[in-house]
Amino acid sequence: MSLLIGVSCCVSVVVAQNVTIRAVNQPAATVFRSIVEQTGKNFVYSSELLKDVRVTVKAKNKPLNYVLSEMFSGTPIEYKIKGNNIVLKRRKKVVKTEKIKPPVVSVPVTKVYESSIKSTMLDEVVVVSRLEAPQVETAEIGAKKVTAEEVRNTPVLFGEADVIKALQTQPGVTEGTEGMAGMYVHGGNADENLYMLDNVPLYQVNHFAGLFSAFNTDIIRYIDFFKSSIPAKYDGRLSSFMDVRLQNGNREGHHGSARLGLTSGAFNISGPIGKKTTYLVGLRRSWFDVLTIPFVAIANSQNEDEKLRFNYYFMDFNVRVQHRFSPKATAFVSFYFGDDKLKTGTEDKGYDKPNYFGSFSDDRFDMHWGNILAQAGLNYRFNDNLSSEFTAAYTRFFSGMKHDYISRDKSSDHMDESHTVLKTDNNINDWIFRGDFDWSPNGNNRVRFGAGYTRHSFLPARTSRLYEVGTTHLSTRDSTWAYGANEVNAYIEDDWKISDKFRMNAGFHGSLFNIGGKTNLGWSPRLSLSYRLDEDWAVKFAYARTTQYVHQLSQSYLALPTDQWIPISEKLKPETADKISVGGYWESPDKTYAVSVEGYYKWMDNLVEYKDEYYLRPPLDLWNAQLCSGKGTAKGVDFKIEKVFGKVTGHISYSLAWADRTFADKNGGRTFPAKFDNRHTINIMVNWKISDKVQVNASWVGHSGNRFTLLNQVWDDPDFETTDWFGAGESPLRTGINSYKLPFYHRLDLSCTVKNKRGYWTFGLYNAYCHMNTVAVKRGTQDIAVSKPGEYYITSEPVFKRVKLLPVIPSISYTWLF
Amino acid sequence: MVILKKIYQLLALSLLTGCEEAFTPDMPHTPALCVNSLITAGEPVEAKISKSRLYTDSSEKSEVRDAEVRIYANGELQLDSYIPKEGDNIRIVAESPAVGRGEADVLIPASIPSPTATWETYDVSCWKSDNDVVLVEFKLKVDLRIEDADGENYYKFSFNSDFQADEELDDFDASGNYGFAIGSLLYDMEPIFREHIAIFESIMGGDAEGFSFFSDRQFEGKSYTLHLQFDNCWFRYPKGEIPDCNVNLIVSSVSPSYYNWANYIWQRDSGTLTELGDYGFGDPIWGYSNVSSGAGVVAAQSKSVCSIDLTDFIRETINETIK
Repeated sequence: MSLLIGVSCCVSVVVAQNVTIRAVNQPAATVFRSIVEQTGKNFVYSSELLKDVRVTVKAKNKPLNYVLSEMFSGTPIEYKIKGNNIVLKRRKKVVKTEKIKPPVVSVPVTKVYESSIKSTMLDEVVVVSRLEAPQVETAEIGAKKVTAEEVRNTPVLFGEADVIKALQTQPGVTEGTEGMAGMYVHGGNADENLYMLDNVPLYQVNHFAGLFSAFNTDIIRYIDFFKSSIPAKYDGRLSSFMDVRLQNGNREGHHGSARLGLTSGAFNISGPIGKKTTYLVGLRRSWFDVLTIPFVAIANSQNEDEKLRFNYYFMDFNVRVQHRFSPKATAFVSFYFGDDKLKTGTEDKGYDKPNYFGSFSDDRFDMHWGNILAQAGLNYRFNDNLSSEFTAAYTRFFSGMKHDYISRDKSSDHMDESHTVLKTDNNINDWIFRGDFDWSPNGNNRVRFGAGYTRHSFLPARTSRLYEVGTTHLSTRDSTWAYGANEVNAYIEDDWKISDKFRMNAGFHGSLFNIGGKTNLGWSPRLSLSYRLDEDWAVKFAYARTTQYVHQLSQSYLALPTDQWIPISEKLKPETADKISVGGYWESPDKTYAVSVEGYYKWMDNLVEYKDEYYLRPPLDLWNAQLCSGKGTAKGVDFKIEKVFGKVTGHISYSLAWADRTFADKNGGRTFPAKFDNRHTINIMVNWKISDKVQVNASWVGHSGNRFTLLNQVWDDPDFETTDWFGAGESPLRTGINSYKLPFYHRLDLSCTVKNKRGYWTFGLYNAYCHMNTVAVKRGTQDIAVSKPGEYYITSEPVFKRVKLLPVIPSISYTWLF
Repeated sequence: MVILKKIYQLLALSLLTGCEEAFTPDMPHTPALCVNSLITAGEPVEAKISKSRLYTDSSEKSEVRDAEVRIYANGELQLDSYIPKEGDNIRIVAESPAVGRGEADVLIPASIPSPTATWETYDVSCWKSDNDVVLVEFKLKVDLRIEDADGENYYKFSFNSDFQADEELDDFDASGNYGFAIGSLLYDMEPIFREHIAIFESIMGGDAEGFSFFSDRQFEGKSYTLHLQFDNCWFRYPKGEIPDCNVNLIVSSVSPSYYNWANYIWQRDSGTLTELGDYGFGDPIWGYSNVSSGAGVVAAQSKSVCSIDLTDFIRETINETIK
């Protein structure tokens, strides 16, 4: 896919067929940008096609066809306008003159493009990304552009296409707990990945405890993913950066899709509003609340006195409106709201009757967590060499839990009444203002620079309790307060083509983070070097330092509202990571295959985690009293072989990795393996396009088992004088954290897409050969039959048990296109 | 809200958990010396020495017979006759040639001034059987006021009675079911007993039943009144002379290790972390220990007692009800 290049402008909205342009011996790609901005058309081509192609064109308010003909005359390139796209190909006569079998780059490009037309996914295939060129041509290591089509072609649990699960198939990325949309990149933690929606951070990126990610894949165009070479523009997380870009509104008419799946449904529509404006609306919502209605009704019909409440759903809502003021200026506003909501409880009123003594209780529990994002942006092109993007955004993460319990006990001469309210809130509010500039002073340099300011407001896990028992009133709240923080950052980088063989991307990202009267300085230099040994080979080196001021604390490997986002404080320093990477890259002469080998070593400092036995601290303790900081290292090698074109595409990757942690307040200060220290990981992804209507996708993953803290010894509990609550038993003896390696994990997922006139069916099979993988080891008992002369009995003996999750799970969905 | 916990378990078991398979992990295990001791001011020190064992080896005995135990108070080695007092800093050192060494330090906390109580009874009923046995049933509500000292302190509430039935009465009633009892304490009616329960645990059905440890984080250096309610209190005795019926309300100042141990037991048995760990969604929790070997708990306490005499209440109830 890396050969499939598109240039468009995400803010272009008007189909203007006349173009004004003046370019003399300019790189073709630079000229395209101007045309895209004026016409709203996208260019689709192979990067190889434009290698060293410079064009000269002068036109003032001329038809697009005229401009294109003028521009490509005398070049080996021909064009064809298909719908909203300008498809570039090598002229056929060039192909015929090749002595060897020519690189048939035009054929696969066309085929992919055509298939996309039929599924009305043009905008998703035609993408804008800074990762346009093949890996041998760029300076970056460990960067990947993932298209929406690749996301949809990755088989996943419940058939719910998922951005993060698609990235889990990349080398160096670990999924963590099976079935979850977690991402652990190069030995990092789950909170060390910066997820952005159209360039603005999102904190809450999961639904339903992490089974699904928060991105509606029906409306995304592509994802830029960086894990080793980090562009200077990005900082704030240690391990990876992922920018999800939404589709542009449709300029030709009102079109969209409606999808009905087992767990959720989605409706998306986009179209023009007048001549200069487009809109895009996307809504995804789960069905769980609808599905559980009959079960709750049945349960309540069985019990007249106790009524159960249960209601859970998640949803995402996206709106994006774009307006084009002029060929030089376009603007957009967008809004995202994603949340999970669980309302449940019981009401027991069996004895709440006149002249009847007994009890009444009403138990309510609410959980609500999610993210809101609002953004306004302006793209302005000063001239052909300098363009800019100005952004003002507000992003809010919220997580709240409330438990409200009322009980009344009536007796002959007395009534006890109690009311308990427990509440926990965790919020982040960010106001973001930034300007980004892209300057191409000449054909060999591309300078990106910018600056931004973010006003953070943190409320880390504030807990309050209210007890009313009879006439007693006890109200408490922990001493957590809201923290205001100011963050200023600036960056500059130059992508410099020093010679035909040598390329360098150098830059730095500087930041100041002020909180609690203390200012922290983050200095993150970046360097990527590339040397092309010949046309098909390249070697690279990269260094990146990253700084993180905000952390997520999780008590589990699920995405629960108990997870807390917290800032650094006077006790916690900013997390930092230094990473060096080296890589070797090869592409086959016909550009069909790409092979890469990337090695890395990463040092992480000031990592934040819960202390051992943190759960013994009471909930009203200040949030940072349960935390400790430490270090970590990660190293490894990622191999990848990718087939880019043809009826069968896909990749095979292998990762060899190590990751460990050292905390003074964990594991007795001894170094221990990270939870997802998977030594060997193999990913195989195959996409077979059987015909224009049918495509089959298969994904196989195998990796060394996750690390686990196996407590294999026990000691006798003390028989202290106790109340009736204690019972003498045994307690597990602490052992080294993550000292046990679970069995090798492997799984095959399949999916099949069948298109018809109105849309397409998607059939999925998660864990196709039903190999249930071990995710934990628990202590349990096993019944043993004892047979002796004259007696037979069943006894139980203690055993360790492997806990296995997720058998084969089929899925089906239908997407209607209109 | 136990229903939520059941829903959670149902989801985990039926939707996610495919199966469990017994196996023997290949993992080395070296026994650790376990030292358990609860030191009470004014009472001799006892320590139980044992060793850890492989969880699956139920036949393996945990007894350790060759251990040598030394007790130090404020840095000085003590003899068997040593009686600890409040403020003593005690170190217990145990060594076994076969198993190894374990040691722990604990400070005996100062007891609080004697609590003061006000009380009332309600839902009182009284019957007399054909054989002149009187039964009084009632509920008891007590407000117990304690004074907290400065600093971080931990407490445990407990109760008992000094009631002694006449031994000859066993011949009078074959059931032998005479006596006086303070029934069940309604733990959930006192908020401080729920202090350790986080909201997620509360939602998942965790309650304070049986848990009467608490800290002074919410009333440090001040007084606090425990609201205690006892259901199912009863007195059953032949009509006639009534023995003394009292209730001892005991507020023990406990060491942090004692509080942590109790809290761990609650988290293990009623918290959510154990289940998260069992299904691979979280890290398993191990037994809390303040012993260097990682096995055992050395705790300390000092008791303060407030006694309530219910004899007159019972006598008056009988006299008023049964003429």
